[in-house]
Amino acid sequence: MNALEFIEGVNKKNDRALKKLYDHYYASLCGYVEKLLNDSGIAEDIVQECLIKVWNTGVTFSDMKALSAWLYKSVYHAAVSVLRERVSLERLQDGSRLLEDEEEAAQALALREEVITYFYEILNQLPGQQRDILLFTLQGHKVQDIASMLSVSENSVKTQKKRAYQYIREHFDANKLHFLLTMIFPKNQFS
Amino acid sequence: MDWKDIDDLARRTVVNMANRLSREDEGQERENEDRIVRELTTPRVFEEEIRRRGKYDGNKAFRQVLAKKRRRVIGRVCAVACSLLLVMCGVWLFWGESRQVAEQIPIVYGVRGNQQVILQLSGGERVALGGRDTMRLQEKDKAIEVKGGVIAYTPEEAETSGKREDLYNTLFVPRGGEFRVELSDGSVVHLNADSELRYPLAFAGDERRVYLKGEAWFEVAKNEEIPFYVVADNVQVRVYGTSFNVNTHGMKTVQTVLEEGSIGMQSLASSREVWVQPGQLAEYNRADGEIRVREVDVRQYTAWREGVFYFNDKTLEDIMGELSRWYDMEVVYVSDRGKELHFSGFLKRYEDVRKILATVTESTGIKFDIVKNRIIVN
Repeated sequence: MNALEFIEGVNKKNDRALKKLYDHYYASLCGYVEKLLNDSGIAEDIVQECLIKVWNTGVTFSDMKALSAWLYKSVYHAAVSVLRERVSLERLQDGSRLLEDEEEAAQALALREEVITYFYEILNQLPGQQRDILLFTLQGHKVQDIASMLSVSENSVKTQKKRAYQYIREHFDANKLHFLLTMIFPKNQFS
Repeated sequence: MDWKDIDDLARRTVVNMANRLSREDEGQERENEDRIVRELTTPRVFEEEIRRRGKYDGNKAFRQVLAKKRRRVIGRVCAVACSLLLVMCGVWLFWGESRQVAEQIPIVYGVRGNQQVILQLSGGERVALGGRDTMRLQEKDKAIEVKGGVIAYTPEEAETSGKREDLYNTLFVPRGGEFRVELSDGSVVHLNADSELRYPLAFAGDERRVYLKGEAWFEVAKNEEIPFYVVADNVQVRVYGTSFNVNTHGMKTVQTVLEEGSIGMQSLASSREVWVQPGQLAEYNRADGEIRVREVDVRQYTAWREGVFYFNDKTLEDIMGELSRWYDMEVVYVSDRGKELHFSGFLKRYEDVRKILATVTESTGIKFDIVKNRIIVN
């Protein structure tokens, strides 16, 4: 399933595409709202409500861009209204404009969540050793340490890192627009 | 920036992030680096983010909506949905636990349960080796030391080797056990539960040969002149110095997985030797006698010796088979339907079986009952 098929599936409310919708967006949207509101319980409610809208209403999307934009924007507005309610309940004056003026910051935060999702997905499809090496690197280990942990040479760690980078670059090549989710579990589990 | 840019920018940033991680001049700041890339590549930040997301279960959320939508069409459809959910659910579990693997779980040799590790001496005498006791045995002029689940043979002196008659010991490790053997040539064998190894007190002649039933991890001491053979069921593995895993527990196949070096595997009925490279699994098919080699995630086959069960897209039946050997319990299925469900994840081997099963239940929804020595799979 590539990006086009995915979007088409979402527009047609196809279960397989909707499953992928949840795989890709659920945790990242929840994490996002949690950061906006500092509340994980409400986060799940907001996100579920928003995703069900995709499922149950006639809303359609032209591409991934439009879908990501719609989802993040929707949960952002929902979070803002929750925040407003909270503020009015507490009759506070200062916090009332907290998020409205900060759409820019909220967008940057959304971007960050999407980066995490995409990076996590691509990590999961890298060959085992490349994945481990990137993981160790993310944990702050140096090439030297990684080489000794995996009992390989430093050069081979460097080579594997470069390969991983090549792989990632190719997959996110804007012209190809690979859609990653299909490859996390290569076998077709939906038949 | 606009909401519409998020997807494009996210893709581009991921590439930048990979670029940064792959660079050799680590640690040096570049002004044009995106703030997000900087943040996420800061040690442990990305990991922390993934961990934080672990509590959000997209599969469960999807399932809930699906269940509402499909309330009328239960039965078959539901089974399919469940199985695909199960397949997906392993991933977060894997990530959640993977750091603990890096932290190194201390290996606990010995046995859980009532059974004992038995050492059969060359004269046929059988000695029970207490799980954690210290013991000194004497076989002819050879001292054998048993300590904390490790049995060690004194290293061979160069002059005496080659003249000794073959005296064999056999170590039996019961279900629920795990034991380490240090052979006279310095090779180390880590025996898994329900396994046995037969080996000479000292290696004589121009080869080193041991016999295995069950599963063991070998770290063979290098010796280019004297090859080391593992005979396991109908298969012989030839090595010169390397680490690898051999497993005869499979109903259909005998498996060998290589971590480093290289080995040759051949069936005893044939003269053709198949070469196995690191990262490969060689499987001897009991039915047709053929050996097939393929690339695998080696950790799946070797994680057990680090105190972890690591399942990557394994069927429930395989997983329960391994748990039953380790916990010495019988597994009973209420129905066959669940057996083929796939599952991935890390589990700690030294955890109580109830805890392990609770983890499986949590992520799969499959319920287990424990009645005496039986695990009942619902």
